[in-house]
Amino acid sequence: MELDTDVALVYRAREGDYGAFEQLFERHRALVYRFAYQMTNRRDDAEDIVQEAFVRAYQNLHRYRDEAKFTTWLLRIVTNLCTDQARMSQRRTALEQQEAMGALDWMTVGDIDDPVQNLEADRRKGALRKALAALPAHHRSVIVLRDIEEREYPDIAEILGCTVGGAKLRVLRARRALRDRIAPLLGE
Amino acid sequence: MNGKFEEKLAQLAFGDMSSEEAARIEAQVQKNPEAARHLAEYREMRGGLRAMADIPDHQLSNERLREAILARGLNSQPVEDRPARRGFGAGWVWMPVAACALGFFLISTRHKAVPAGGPVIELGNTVAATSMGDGRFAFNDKPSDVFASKRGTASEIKPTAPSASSAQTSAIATPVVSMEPSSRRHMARNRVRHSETERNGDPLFTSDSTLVAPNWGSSPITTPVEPPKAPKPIEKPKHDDSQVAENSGPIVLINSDTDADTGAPTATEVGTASNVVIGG
Repeated sequence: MELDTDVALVYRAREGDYGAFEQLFERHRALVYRFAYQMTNRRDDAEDIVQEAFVRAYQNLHRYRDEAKFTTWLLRIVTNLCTDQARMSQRRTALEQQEAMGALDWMTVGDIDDPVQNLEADRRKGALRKALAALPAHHRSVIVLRDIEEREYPDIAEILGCTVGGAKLRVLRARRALRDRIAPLLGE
Repeated sequence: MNGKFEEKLAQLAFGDMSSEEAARIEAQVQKNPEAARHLAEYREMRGGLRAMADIPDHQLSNERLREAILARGLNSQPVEDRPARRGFGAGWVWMPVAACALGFFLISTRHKAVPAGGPVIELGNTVAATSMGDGRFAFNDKPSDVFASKRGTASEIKPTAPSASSAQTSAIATPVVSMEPSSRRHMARNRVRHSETERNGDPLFTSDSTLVAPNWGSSPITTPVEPPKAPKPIEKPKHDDSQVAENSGPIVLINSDTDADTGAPTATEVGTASNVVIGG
């Protein structure tokens, strides 16, 4: 076993090598942060979730089984954290959500020269982002995993703790739910 | 447009379909304007989601993580390996098991205890006895409802009489505690069938004919009656309070079934018990 594989680092971390765990953190924090950000739409919330996920991973290193990929195991922790966080933040005001979305305007830089078309593109992207944020956590997570992070179905199944067929079905239902939410926002 | 076809459109838009099937669906879409609109919406959705992959950079640091770990009381050393708990573990099981065992023990011993009000002699069978008023009971051989004993109570027992003879019908047993309907079910398993009685013409007893019991007012029976012997007619009722305590031995219930090999009647030993319902 190579010394720098995820499994090897986990074994070293279990035996007291904290530096090995730090390597795991540096290697996978971006992936975890991306997922948490897509789920929460807020940078500070996403960073908190990432930190909490790695703390829990450190606490439960003894439970990690090397049959699964370390990233899969980690994303399962993050998914649960995001679901909990979504449940707690349901009461967040619409104003805060709008503010969060407004902070992302810098991302919606149109690559079309026509300002009118740019405006329309921005409106549709905003509607998509809003619709995604409004999805239930169990739908949002599969959309993020499959259609944003582009993870394979076996990985998604392992993260969610279901079969590959079940994962495909959940993705299908989530896409339909997202489309149903977008239509009213676009005035269709 | 049905849901299945819409699912196909979503799969086509997101590239979750084989090339052959994708070509087939595309051909169908070209003939269906509504399907074409749905497909376009799904494709736009996919493009928009891909564009959302760009996010602001994080400010995560190793120091921040270490502080968070230390704040939890976890040192930089990993937690000692603990055995992974599978499910809820077996530790919690002992409590309900112990409760069930205790309940079963209490129930089983309760029926063996002798009531303070007087002895209860029970003999599971379908024959009931009629009180003769002087502490003696007449038995009959007609199948009747199963009756069970109840401690300390003395109510009327449904009378049945042995078919053998009038003398036999006056077979005396100990004063029998009457059965209450609620107790009858309990003794259902102790029935003694009377097919043998009817076949042989002799009353069948699961114990000796001189089944006796002390007075109800005296100390309760503590020993069971004598073990069964060959059935024989009872000519004279008698009971002896003093013999009760000495009569001990297993009690058997005569079954209606016969031995397959010999054809002889079979009986089931129910053990000794101080509570016996006498039947004939």
